Amino acid sequence: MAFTTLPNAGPNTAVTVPRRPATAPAWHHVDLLVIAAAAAITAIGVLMVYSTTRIPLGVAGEDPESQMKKQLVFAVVGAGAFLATVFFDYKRYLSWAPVLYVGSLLLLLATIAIGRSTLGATSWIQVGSIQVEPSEIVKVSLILSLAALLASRKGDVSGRVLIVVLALSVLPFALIYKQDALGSAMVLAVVMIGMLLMAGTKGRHMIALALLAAIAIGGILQLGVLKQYQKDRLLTFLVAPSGVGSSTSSASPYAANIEYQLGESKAAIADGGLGGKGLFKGTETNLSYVPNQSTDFIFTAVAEQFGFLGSGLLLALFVLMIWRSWRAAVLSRDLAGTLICVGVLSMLTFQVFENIGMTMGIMPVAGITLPFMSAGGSSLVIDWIAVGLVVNVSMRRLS
Amino acid sequence: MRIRATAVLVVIVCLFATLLGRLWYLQGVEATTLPALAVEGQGIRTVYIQAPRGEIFDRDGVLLAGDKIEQVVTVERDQALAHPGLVDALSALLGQPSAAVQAAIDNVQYSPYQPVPLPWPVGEPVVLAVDENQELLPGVSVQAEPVRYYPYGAETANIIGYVSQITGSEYTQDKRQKCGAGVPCYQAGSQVGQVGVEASFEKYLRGTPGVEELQVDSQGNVLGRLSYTPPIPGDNLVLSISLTDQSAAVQTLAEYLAKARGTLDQATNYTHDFRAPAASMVAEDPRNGQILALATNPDYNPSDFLGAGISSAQWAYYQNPANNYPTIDRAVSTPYAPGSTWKLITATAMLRYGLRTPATYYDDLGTYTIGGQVFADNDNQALGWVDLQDALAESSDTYFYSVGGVFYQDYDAGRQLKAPDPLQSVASQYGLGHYSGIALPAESPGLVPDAQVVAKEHAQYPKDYPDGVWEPGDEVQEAIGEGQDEVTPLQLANAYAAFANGGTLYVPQIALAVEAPGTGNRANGKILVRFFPQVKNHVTMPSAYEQAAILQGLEGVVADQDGTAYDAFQGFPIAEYPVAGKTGTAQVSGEFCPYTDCGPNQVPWPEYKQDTSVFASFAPADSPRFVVDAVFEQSGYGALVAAPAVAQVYKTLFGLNKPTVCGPSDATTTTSTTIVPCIPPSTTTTTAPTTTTAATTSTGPNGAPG
Repeated sequence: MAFTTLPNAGPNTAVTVPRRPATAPAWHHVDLLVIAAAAAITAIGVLMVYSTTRIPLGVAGEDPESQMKKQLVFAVVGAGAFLATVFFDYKRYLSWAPVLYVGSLLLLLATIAIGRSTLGATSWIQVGSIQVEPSEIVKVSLILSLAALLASRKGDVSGRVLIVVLALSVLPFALIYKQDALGSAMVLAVVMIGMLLMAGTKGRHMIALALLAAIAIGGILQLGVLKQYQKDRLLTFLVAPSGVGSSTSSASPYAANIEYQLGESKAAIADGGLGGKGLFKGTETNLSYVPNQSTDFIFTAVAEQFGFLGSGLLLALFVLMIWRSWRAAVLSRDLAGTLICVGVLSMLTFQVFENIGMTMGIMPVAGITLPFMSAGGSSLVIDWIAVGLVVNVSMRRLS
Repeated sequence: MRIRATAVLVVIVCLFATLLGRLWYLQGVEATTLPALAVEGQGIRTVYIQAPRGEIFDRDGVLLAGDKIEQVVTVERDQALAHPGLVDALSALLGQPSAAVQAAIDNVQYSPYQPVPLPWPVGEPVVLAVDENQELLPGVSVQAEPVRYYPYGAETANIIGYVSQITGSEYTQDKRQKCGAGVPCYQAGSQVGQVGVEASFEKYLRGTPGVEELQVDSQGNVLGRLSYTPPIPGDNLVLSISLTDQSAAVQTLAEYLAKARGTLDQATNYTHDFRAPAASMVAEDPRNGQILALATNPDYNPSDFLGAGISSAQWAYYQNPANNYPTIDRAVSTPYAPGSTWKLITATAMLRYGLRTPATYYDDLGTYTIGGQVFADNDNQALGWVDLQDALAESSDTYFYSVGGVFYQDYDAGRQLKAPDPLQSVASQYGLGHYSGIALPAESPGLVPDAQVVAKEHAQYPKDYPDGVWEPGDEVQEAIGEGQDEVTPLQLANAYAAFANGGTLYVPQIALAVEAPGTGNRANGKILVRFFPQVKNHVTMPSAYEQAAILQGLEGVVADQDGTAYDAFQGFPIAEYPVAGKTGTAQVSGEFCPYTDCGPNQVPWPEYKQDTSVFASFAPADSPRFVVDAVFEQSGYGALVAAPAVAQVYKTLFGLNKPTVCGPSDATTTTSTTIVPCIPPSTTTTTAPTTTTAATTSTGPNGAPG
């Protein structure tokens, strides 16, 4: 893989993009691989949602396929959103950035005011018969906003700009934190860091930022800013023993629940062995032993039913998708496009790593969904929009 | 910039490599370790189904213990939790207090995966009500359940015993037992035989539990059945007992106890009736040791113990001394001084060791003196010159005292081993002082006192046994069955059987065979295990002529006009069925003292214990087929109570008299005998017959029909 045109980010370098005649329409340069990867992962996700929900729904007397059908509908909506995203040149979205940013902040405020909660996080609002999760929307709006701001600096990120970026990121971070959706807040932080890195922030500023982050994390954990259950959620994975059934005597029932969840999760994964138990044949998956299996712990369904080979394949699909996003970032025609792709791949990488790592007991439990797989409409649609942005950038690299 | 982009890619690759590595660890390395394997068992619940229990029949195939199908109301625990009004609805339906219904539902003995059965049997109306009101009674249904059932109730209770739920300590002990193909025999809540043959033949009767494997999700919802192995019913047991003989014995005991209670005791100067609190009787076949009847009074209702166990009120009744402990089988567990029935032992020893010949005459002067002590005949009656036959027939105490005296002198002179001396070793050969080996729990081995026993008693309890030396009085008392002699009615019967058959002491046999399970409470007939007569010991007998002399003496007890049991057998056809036996009247307390200031050997009322009435016998005397003995506590002369009781039972044994058989309690078939319903032993409301001065015929716990 070769770099073709690489925007030189330096204070005195003018960014020049060789102009080429518009030989072929952008549609000819659509990156099919990334679409295929995303589509494959979505399809696996639908199947996994089915396998994890059909028995509990059946036992409760409802249609066992209902969750799967919902997920299919969301997939179709996501496909539609993807097409819409891809249709217009991303320059247009950059010009909407301020509106999007303020709009998503308002939505966050609305969630705090009138939002509903699940699992301790007040994170979604009911619009008619649809549940909308603004924390998902704010991911994309922040990516676009930061891309617009940083691209206009043309690679020169001064200290003042840094502060502005921090301020822009902290606002939604704080609002999401207020909703107790700690995981989503961390995604924003990662997105911000990734985009800052590729926008040309000076090395020393990056180091200062890293130190700040470390102090902040340490301070948060020590000063009791986090509630006990949040601490439990974050730290239990360090002490939870592996395997089924065993548990250390934990201080709080919340921690005990987490331990149980992690224990079942790891056991389900281990049960998959090399080749998996087979579709619908996993004991844990099909007998509802893993809590929240259709959402945060959906990976365990793949792991148990398809084993190491199947999970490896899924990881490969994610790697493919992320690599193509990285490639789009590198090949982009302008800094803005690069930053958009970097934002998207930071988001995807962090979510995948945190979610799958959590199910395997090497990352803290933070309620983040697995992109394209977890049951849930908002995240699926937003993920497709994100992929849409990447495809958008990559197919217009030659324009 | 290029560096940064590459750095980002490297970070991404590292992260995914970490994920893959951890995945490999969990799925490759840990997959085969124990925690992962535990996952396999998580969704499976194993439920054990108790097997139908084997049935118990008498020797003629009459059912003595079986399973009856009863309608039982069952409740699903989670429904009871989800619907708080359910308990009250059930309480109204069953007519039981709500607290009792709740306690029954919460009974931890029952598995949480199966509906809990409520312990009150229900009839048709309740079954219909449950059927028609399912909306008001969610999770409630009626199941046909096999329930253990004893058709003859108290009559056979001491032999059959009962089953009840396995206790905590029993379960801890037995839970590792496997019944066929690795299935554990017992769960919490299993029914186990506790006493009687239900206990001693438990391994045959219990069968093999069935196994059901259910697929269960994490909420406990049953999703399906993975496998089912049906239970294997237990094998049937055929006893040596004959129900007609048993019934005769049981009713005779009740009848004669009642009579005794209505008779004034001469020994108390006619100031008190006989207490007659308890009695027992054994009927045995001397040719093989098979037990035909084993009766005890008072007896108990085995159904009290079924199900979840006996109620505390009923248990208090059984444990109250005033009710004379109906749960004790006195035929097997209670040893008595057998009185003059011991003289068979003494006579055997006397002849074997050549102390006297049968024809040697002895002058019975009414008293015998040895070691400075005077021992008297009953009422100091002098019988004059008696030979062996007379001494047995008329029960001369001094004849046998003197034999004891000679044995003592030989012992004292060191002419044989210190102990046991000839009298005691003959007693031991006859099985006295040893367990008989009958397949029933709680047997007492009795006691044959000798010098060693006395020395040990003194060493262990010096206050109670101040004299550790074997005295002449001890030997002399032993010779006529008094003193510390302890013999159970079963041992007494075994000893007389050994004499009757010429010297073979058999292990008394209570079961004849184990049969394959049948259907519908009928005997199957296919024998799996046959129990053969087992010889326990051989009694070295004197010569045939000398044995015949003893036999003649025993026959004389019944046939001679001077025989002590002559009157008792009036009306019995001894010409066709000659009976040989021996009466015994065992003194328990010293002399009765009617006043407040009493002499050294005198005992006032109520400490005074009245004489034990004993009779042991076999018939027909020329070729014995039956041995029957009876022991009546505190009932007076052997000749007046025990002997006529035995005579009455012989009538049944010889087929001269069909008793009215009590039960079965809901018989739908008729047999050749008249059936009357069994009257269950009374509960806490009845007072036990104890100290009464007026003659009362109280109904004993067996509900005497006579």
